[in-house]
Amino acid sequence: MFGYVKPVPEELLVKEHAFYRALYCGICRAMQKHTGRLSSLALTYDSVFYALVRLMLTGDSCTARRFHCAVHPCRCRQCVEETPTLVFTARAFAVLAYGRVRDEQADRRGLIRIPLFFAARVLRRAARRANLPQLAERMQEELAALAALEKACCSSIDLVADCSGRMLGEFFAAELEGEGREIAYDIGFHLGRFVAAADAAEDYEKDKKNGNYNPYLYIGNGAFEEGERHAAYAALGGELLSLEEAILRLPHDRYPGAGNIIKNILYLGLRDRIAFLEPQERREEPVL
Amino acid sequence: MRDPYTVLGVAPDATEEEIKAAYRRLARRYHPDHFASDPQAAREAEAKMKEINEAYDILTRKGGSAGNGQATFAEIRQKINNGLFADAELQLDRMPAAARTAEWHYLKSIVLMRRGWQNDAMREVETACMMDPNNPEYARAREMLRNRFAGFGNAYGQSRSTRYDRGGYTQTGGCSSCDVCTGLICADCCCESIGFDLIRCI
Repeated sequence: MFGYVKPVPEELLVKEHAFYRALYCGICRAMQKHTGRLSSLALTYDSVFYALVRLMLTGDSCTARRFHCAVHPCRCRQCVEETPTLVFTARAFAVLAYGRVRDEQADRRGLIRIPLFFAARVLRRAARRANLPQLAERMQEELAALAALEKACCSSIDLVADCSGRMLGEFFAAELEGEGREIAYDIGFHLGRFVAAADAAEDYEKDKKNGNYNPYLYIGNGAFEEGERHAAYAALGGELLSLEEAILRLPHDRYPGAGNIIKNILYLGLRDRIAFLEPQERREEPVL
Repeated sequence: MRDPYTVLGVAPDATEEEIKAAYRRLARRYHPDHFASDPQAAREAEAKMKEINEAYDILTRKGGSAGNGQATFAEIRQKINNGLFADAELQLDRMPAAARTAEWHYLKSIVLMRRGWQNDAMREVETACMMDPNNPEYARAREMLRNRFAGFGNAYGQSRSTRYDRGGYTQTGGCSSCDVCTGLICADCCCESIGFDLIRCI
């Protein structure tokens, strides 16, 4: 999940949007402090969703303060002060970012490998400083399973998606207990599955051109035409329904503001990601 | 459910005689009468016995019903109705490729759906519809799967499509006459600052 899980800011209340941005700043600061300055460059907006889910489950209270930072030198930014949840988010995302960059290193060819090499060096250190050996190990296992499926040219999207589902499930559930752990695992699991499948559908053309692995290339005659797009859309939608079920189990009354941002991400942000697969006759233009 | 061959402790290529012998041996060992004195052990034995019976059922039926697909499909449907999805899937997977009719794909899609594998379930139901286009049951299932997502987020997203169209806040996307004037004035100012003039009167 990289840059995939975002809200539609136009539909947030102003205070919710401010909170969302303050959380992002807070995670970025926590990352600078706990995993190294440079590693915070690898941060994406997905981390805010992760932090929101975990905030709702742990019930940490957040206080905002204004800070100066190097990226925005001219204006002070609202920024949520460090809480254990934000620190954990920062550490978990350092590990995830390292996994991602390793994955890219394995796939990409050409000049892009030079910046990737440096990014990998920075993030390897960051992941080590994050000090989450169990999560890192689980991630390696799932990435290895994924690589094996890719090698075998697996045609079952569900089998491929399950790998990233399990991985994100572990990340969401880490260091939580009881019912909260189950809810977080389910959210992570369905989100991981959704992101993997939606990402594959989105990259279909690119992967076809570059000769990279993509599960949709091995379905039917590999053309990914109207009928198959329709089926993929329905299946991804079904995944969102499962995700919705898990999200509705969160204690929404405890953190109504956070709950609304999560709902915005689920109902608008994620739905928009698969709008390109939607059958033409049903697509409605939003009136704006 | 565990693999029936493991439960009975026989090799996957065991003959019917071997399966029967293994079943008899295990049934004797776990017979509830042996555990009359210890209720805890008796419960465990009962559970084990149930598992052995199921495994034996599956293995003995498999040989006899391979040629008669219809009967087995009815049984699998029964299993699905009773919620024994793992069992149903095991039986489906054991069917030879030749017996995989439209109904097989349809039942497989139900089992996959249950597991949450919606992509593969969609594909199976599509295959079922392709193999038997006139079957209303398969067509209905396909429609249901396709339209499950149709109303997603409407309760939340409704406001999105209606929030702006009533209150008079409309944005046409092009530029208004006001924008054109502003643009011209700006351009004129720029020109004048370097010694030219775009519009004489201002």
